[in-house]
Amino acid sequence: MSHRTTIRAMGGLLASLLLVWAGQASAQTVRAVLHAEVKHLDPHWTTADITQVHGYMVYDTLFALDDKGQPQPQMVDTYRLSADKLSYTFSLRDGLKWHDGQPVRSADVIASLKRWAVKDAAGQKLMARTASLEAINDKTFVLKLKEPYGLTIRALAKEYSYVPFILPERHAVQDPSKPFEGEVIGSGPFMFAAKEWVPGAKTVYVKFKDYVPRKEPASYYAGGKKVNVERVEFVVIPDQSTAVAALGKGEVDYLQRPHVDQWPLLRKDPNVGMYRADVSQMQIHPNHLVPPFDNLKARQALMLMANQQDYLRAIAGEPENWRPCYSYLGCAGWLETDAGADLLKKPDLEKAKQLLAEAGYKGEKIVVMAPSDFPTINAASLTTAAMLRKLGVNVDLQAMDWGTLTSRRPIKDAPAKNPAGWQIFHTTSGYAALKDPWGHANISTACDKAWFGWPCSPRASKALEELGNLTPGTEAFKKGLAEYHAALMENIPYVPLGEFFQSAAYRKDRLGNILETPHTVFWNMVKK
Amino acid sequence: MLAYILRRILATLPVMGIVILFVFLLVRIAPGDPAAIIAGDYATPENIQKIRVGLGLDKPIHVQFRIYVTNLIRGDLGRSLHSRLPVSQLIAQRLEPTAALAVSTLSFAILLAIPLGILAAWKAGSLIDRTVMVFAVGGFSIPVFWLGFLLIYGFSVKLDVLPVQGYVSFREGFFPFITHLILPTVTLGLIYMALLARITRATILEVLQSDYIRTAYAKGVRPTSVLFVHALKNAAIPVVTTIGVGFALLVSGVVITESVFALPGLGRLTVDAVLQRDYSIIQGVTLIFSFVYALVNLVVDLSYTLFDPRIRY
Amino acid sequence: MPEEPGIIPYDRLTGRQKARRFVRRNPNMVAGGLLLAVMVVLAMCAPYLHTVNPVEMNPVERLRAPGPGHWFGTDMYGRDSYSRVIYGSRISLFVGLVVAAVTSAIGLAIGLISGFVRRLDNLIMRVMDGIMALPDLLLAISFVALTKASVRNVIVALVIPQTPRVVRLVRGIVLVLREQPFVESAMAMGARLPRLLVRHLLPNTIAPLVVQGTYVMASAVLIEAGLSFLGAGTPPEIPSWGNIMAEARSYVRVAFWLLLFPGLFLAATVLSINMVGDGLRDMLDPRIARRMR
Repeated sequence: MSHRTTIRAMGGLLASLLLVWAGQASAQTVRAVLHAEVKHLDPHWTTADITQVHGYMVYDTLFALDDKGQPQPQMVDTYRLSADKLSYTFSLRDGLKWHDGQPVRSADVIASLKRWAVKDAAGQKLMARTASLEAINDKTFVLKLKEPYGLTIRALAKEYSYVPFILPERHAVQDPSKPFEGEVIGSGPFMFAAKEWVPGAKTVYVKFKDYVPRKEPASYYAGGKKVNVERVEFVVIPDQSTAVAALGKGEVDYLQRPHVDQWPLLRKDPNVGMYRADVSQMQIHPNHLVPPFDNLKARQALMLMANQQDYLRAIAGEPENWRPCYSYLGCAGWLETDAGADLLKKPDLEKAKQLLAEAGYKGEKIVVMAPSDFPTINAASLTTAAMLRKLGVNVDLQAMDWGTLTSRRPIKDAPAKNPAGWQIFHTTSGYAALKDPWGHANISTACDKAWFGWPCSPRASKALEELGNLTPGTEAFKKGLAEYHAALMENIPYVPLGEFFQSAAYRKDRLGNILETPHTVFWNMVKK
Repeated sequence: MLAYILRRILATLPVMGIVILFVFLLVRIAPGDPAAIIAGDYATPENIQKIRVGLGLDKPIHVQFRIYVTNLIRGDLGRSLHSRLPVSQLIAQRLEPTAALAVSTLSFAILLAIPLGILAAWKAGSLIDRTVMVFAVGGFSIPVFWLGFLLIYGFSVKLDVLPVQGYVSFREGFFPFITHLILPTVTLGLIYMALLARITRATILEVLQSDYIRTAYAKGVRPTSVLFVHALKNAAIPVVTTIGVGFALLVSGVVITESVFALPGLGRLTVDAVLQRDYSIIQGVTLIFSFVYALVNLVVDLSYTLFDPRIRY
Repeated sequence: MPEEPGIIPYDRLTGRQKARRFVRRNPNMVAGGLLLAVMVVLAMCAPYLHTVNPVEMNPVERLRAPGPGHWFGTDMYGRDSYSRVIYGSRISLFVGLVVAAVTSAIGLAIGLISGFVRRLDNLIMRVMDGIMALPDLLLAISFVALTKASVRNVIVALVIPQTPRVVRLVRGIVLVLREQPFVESAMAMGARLPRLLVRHLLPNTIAPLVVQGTYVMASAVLIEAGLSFLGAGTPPEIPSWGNIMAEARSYVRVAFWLLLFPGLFLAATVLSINMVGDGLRDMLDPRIARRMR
């Protein structure tokens, strides 16, 4: 080849390489790092938060909460409640389509609600009171109740696991104890790019061009879901510092849950903005079926031992990242109350020691399960172990990964009898759950039907049930709430450890108009 | 020769059989219940049991094994317990980054280590030798993840010349493909390079003691010729063996490197599968790895015929 | 009378001169040995080295940079990093030593038997191949997940993948040795198997075994760190360099000192072990030793 030809060839090669390289950065793709990887695609099958985020991308709901916490119609156009309060008639909006082009029909909705209600607590309560759920025509359906139920619409607007997403009928009729078989087809604002999915590495969504958003502006999970970007990629970066560095260099645009210790770094970066996405309550869950915490005095000792300040510092660092909260139902929410919370407000190690002795604790090993792959929960577990040791307790702190912990949690036996048994584990609940004790599994006091720990308080269960029938804001409601909370404080299903904040971080110069929801949603967002 | 290859492949089958059985039992006896993990935090024990039945995990172990082996013979590696995608598809998706990393690491290590080892052996006892050896030993002593983080901090954060993380396929752009691979390769390669340099040096040293080398000198053959023509060929066999043996080391290092640099490869797939108790993936990857390892050993053994004409199979 | 200065017969050198000669000939090994000795001393005297309780949390003091009160700073729970690193040496060295010792003992026993008893050789080597066919990290993680995270289980998890290599080494030596005349004559004289193994074969395996043992130790210390990094190593309650760094992995840019010091200590320890091993090997292998002189 002649000299000139060679140079031209090299130039062409170089140019094409550069072009390919430049084509990398697409202006209309949002690259986000979420708190977990998308593994399971069926939001009725698993409660995993990440699957609910996936659900919000590809599916839609009948109702959704706005930023005032009020349910607003989403897929529903109009609805009527009959005069005897027993019959809801819903009609769907125009233009609702599945990703494969088929129109959304009542049959899809009914099958989805039935499937959702099999496993979801709020759904179960609704269906227990339902006489019938039938379609009138493709756009209208009727829900007939056996008795008036004030939480009906709220249940349909549920915004945390399990969210009542609407699936196509052929998927919704399948057994919810297995993930549904078939392609992911939803009626939501994004389509799932199955061919580009690499589990554990990358999940891709593309804009659904035929989605018809509502006319109102977007507000929290409600309102018009207008999509302003072409593609969204969920990138998996397992390492916190790598993820933060990637955000700083612009390799990703959004971090859903950077760890609290990365926040100072993020705040220093002029290109990075942050917002508070959620508030979490850390909880100590004792095993109510097994000594010593089967004895109320021991649980009281646990509560007296818990100095919220110490815990929150260990979990979330500087005071600006947390606040103490002496309520089971969250502070600064519609259910704020601290009736009966004296034990929680005034920690007292001496008294705790005394109560523990009175409960009959004689120095047996107490198993505390600590998940080393969950920094916040691990911090709480270590703090509990340290505090218990101050009380003279013989602590067996067992480190494990979260997977092992979740598989040991269901075991009811005492560690003395079954080496996989336990006395204490910790976990968190997000604000959505705290504000909804009827659907919040952790706080159930239904004895052996309750969540892991198996708290048992017929008084609390009854108070909660009655509270559900009262109208918020009335005197009766305030009294009912105080009664419920006092019952909780009397029984101590778990020990609430105050609240710490979860923030998201994003590139200010790339993204705007982000809705500040706990489950990040990608409609309304613009990419600059 | 062909007969030998066939015999070797057949010989690996019983070993792989033992490996499969071992892993199959190991994961099922281990604590950790994939059904509970899948069901998530708010699920009730009934939900968990429903999921367990749905995954076929409630059947007795020998029944599960029989089903697994029957499928295996048909070429079906099963489906991931979590994502329900076929294991073979998951492995195929994640193969490329790991293969790219392995090849680049091997090339980097071999291209640097062998010349260094030869140099050190040639100048044995001198300052050069000692320096190279300390450097090689040092490289072998540094934890992979520590080095990785230091490199990220130095090159990506402070100097801003290389990307922090991720993998870009060469199909999407050759330049990004290279830049994304540089730091992981150096991190992992340093260790492999250290091992190879040491072995090369030791082997060349040993070979240089041999009678036939002294004869060559006596005959007046030039020193460079002695080194490259005679010594190298004879040293090749142990060195190549080490490359094969070091493959296992590479695998462990790959797992950690992929974790630090967020490369979506087989290493991370495996660790995630172990931590999530995704039995199918664990079994599938172990099977693949044993097969590849046997293949590597076979290639190494066959390469002996190139270096030593006396060896015939 | 020797003309050249310095050519004095070895036996006539004083002890000091012998020592100096040793250091001159094997500087790497001596340096490594000294460094290792320092680490061992640190580990043994940990409580007396101005340390505090390494697991005591002090959330008010979290993430402090190195300074007068905390020489290596504090971690995310307010624990003193210096104390953790010093106490961490105990675990790492203990795990390394025990794994090396156990692996050598078991490998020696199996290797001797496999090399000598032809009937069992094939079976044993197939099993060893099977173990070597499993990725050792995967095996270790699975084993620790199978039981629970504890030092004892980590040791077992590290011994299993390392043993086949020692077995191979010993077996190789035995295979060569058993053809030697002295073995044949011992058998002709009626020596029974155990005596043969212990008196005749064993002494020839000691030197390479020791060298291999040092590499196993270095390897064990590193793999333990790797296991802890992946979350399957020593329980975090007990500080080891590996799990100190695992907990610090997110803090590269926020508190790099948490990652720096344990990494330095770990690298220094492994380096010293490797240098000792290399030196021993050079010393004990007559061919290389001859060339070096």
